Amino acid sequence: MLIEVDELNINENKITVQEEMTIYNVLELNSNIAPYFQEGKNVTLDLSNVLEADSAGIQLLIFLKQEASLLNFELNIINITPSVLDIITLFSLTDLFEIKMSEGKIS
Amino acid sequence: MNDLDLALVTFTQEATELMEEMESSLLILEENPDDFEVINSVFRAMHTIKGSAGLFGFDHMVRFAHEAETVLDNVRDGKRVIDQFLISVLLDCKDHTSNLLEFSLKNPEKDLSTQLKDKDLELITKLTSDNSEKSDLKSDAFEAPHAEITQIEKEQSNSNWFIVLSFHKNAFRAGVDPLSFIRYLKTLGDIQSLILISDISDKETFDPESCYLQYEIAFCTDADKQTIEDVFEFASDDCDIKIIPPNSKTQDYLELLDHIDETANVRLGEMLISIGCLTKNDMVNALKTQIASQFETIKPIGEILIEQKIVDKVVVEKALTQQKQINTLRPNDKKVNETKPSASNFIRVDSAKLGQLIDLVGELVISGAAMELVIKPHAITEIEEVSASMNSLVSNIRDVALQLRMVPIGETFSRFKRVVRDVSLELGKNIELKITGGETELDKTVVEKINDPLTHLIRNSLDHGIATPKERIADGKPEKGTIELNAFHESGHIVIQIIDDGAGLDKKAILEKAISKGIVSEENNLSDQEIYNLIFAAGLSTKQQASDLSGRGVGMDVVRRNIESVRGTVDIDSSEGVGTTITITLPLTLAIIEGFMVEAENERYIIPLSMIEECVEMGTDEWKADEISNIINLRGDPMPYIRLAKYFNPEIELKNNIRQSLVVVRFGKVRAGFVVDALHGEQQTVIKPLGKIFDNLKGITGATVLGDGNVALILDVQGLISYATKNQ
Repeated sequence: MLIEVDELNINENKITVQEEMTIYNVLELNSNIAPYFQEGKNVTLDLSNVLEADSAGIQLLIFLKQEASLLNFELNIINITPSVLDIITLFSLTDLFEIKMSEGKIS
Repeated sequence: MNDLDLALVTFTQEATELMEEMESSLLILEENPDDFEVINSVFRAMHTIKGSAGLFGFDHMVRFAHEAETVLDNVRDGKRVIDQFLISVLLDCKDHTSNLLEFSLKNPEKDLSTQLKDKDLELITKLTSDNSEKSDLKSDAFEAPHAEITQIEKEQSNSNWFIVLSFHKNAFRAGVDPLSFIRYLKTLGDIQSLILISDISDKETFDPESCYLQYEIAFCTDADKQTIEDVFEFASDDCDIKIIPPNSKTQDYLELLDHIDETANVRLGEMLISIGCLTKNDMVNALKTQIASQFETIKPIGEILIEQKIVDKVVVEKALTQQKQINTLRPNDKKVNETKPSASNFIRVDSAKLGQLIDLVGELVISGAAMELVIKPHAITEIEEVSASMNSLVSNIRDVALQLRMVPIGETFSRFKRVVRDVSLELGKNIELKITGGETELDKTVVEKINDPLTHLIRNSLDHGIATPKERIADGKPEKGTIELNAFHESGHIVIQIIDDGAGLDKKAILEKAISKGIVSEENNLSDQEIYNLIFAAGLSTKQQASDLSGRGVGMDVVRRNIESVRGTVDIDSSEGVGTTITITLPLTLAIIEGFMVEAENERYIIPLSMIEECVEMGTDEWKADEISNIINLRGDPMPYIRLAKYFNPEIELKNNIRQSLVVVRFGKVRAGFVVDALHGEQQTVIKPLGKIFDNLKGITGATVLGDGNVALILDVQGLISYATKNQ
């Protein structure tokens, strides 16, 4: 499976992406995630298994973030792996994704 | 062949050329490690190879080339010093890349062989080994001291380039990943800030596989505009790129314009490109805009450039004034500039096609001669005039067609730089290779044939000829040995000389060895020259121990055979303790020669015109012909002669009453005379090789078909001269 979904509670779904996020699977990934994007239900996106991403993958993240704010719910992205974080930093997207430094350097 | 195959062939050729270029650049670097242009050209070679190998999916090559490229990039940025070690490694890298290419071509799908893999690893380790010490400059920007320095520099210089990248919707699908370009850009300098603009409209139309990204980057670097643009070279089809120079650069450009070379081109665009404020791509785009707007009033190119914010207005104005100045200064020279040959004016042609063309021209020459023969008896002036002008055209075509196959020998020569370098390192000798006459041109097939013999001879000189620095100093010679490679034209031939200032040939040793091998007997009273030439005999090597390079005594006879197979000769001259000179004489071409037709006993022969010195009457007493030893006295000089009819048919009864002629031929310094019955004059001769069964025939190199359909034999002048000299 590309993603795994846990219903944390009635107001929140946790989606764990199981593979890398690249041009090869963004289309499928998007259609898999789309059904869980509903008004009023928050989503936590767990990227701990995403070891690799490319621009298309990052673009999808931007899109999801944009959708979430349009639909008025919170999208929290957690457990970003170093290699993906690297790209996010390079693209100056840390603010958009509200990255919280896990090592506790910056809260 | 389909398109891909064709592209593959082009790629292979290009890659080979690039690697050769890289090799020579590296050799230049060895002497001149600070030459930035040369470092750049090495980098570009690797970069291009990497890029094109990627297109064909040669992953091994891409991966390896990438490693090499990274190191070269660090060198370019001054983060790594280029030294002897690195150059050696890079030379090995070049060889390895060639091997990878060959492997990838043969087994496109397979994994590397273990041997290649090992080499791969070894070289990558070598490449990166040095990196650990110096590269912390680049990787850890967080480390305190360096970071501070760069911070200050940044503020002082305020020289940020502004780069706008708008990727097309199809970029991802075309395999372009903005990420990799930005990562690569980072290796050239510092990204001060990056703004990512995503233009994702709404859910309905969003396609995750399309690219909606735009980047605006403030970039701090010392690189010039072309270098920055080159970063995005592979994306240029899928991305609109705008590079706006930093403000501080404007001042630089103005200064550069002040010092612009007045002999340079006087077009505005070219001026701007030459000072680096405009790249070729910018110019192309601006010109396109200019053409597209032709229905409105056409704007000057400068205005377009300003409008597109590519160049600052001040710079354009300055350039325009400068342009005017140059134009008034040198109004007459403008034409000269325009006719300058441009370096890219080449087309690749399959050499088989050239061969075909030359064959056809050969046939044309023959049928031209046939036509002349047919119309001659009719003596119609008009036809003869037409035929004469056609003949001169045909001979022009012939010259041009032959010219097509001519290549300068310099390329072959410069390959030996590497050989000399490697071998002298290996042997612990200090040897310099001097090349003169590299521009001398000769037929490509000849060049190919002499490559091996030349390599062998040079290796011989390196190994046997030039002694170790210690021995040389003991002999009172400079420590550094020299090998000279010369090429020049001499009477329809190309002469190639290999001159070393080494120990010279050991006459006694050669003679002893030759006697012990039974090549000559002790009673033979040999001249120095003959002794030297013994080294070309099979199975003779005086070197006590055979080395990797030479000394097995199998090489020199092969050298001679190879050279003789292209109708060339090799001669050796030496003086002990001073050096050795090897002289190779080669014909200019293998296809068509200017010949001189003679007749003896109703048989026609062709003598290469370039070898004929004069023709005189034979019968007179003036020459004091000595019929027994076959010598005549030509105006005081004794000269051997041959009766051609007698030579080719010893049993023939010569009639004494015919008026005979003597053709005096010369090869090198030796002369001889051929006695013939009639002279038929000049003749363009297409050389047809003789069949295999005539291989052992002495005195003849080929044949040609005459206009009347008869066959004439082409004389091997050189062989006949040496026969005549021996039979004095």
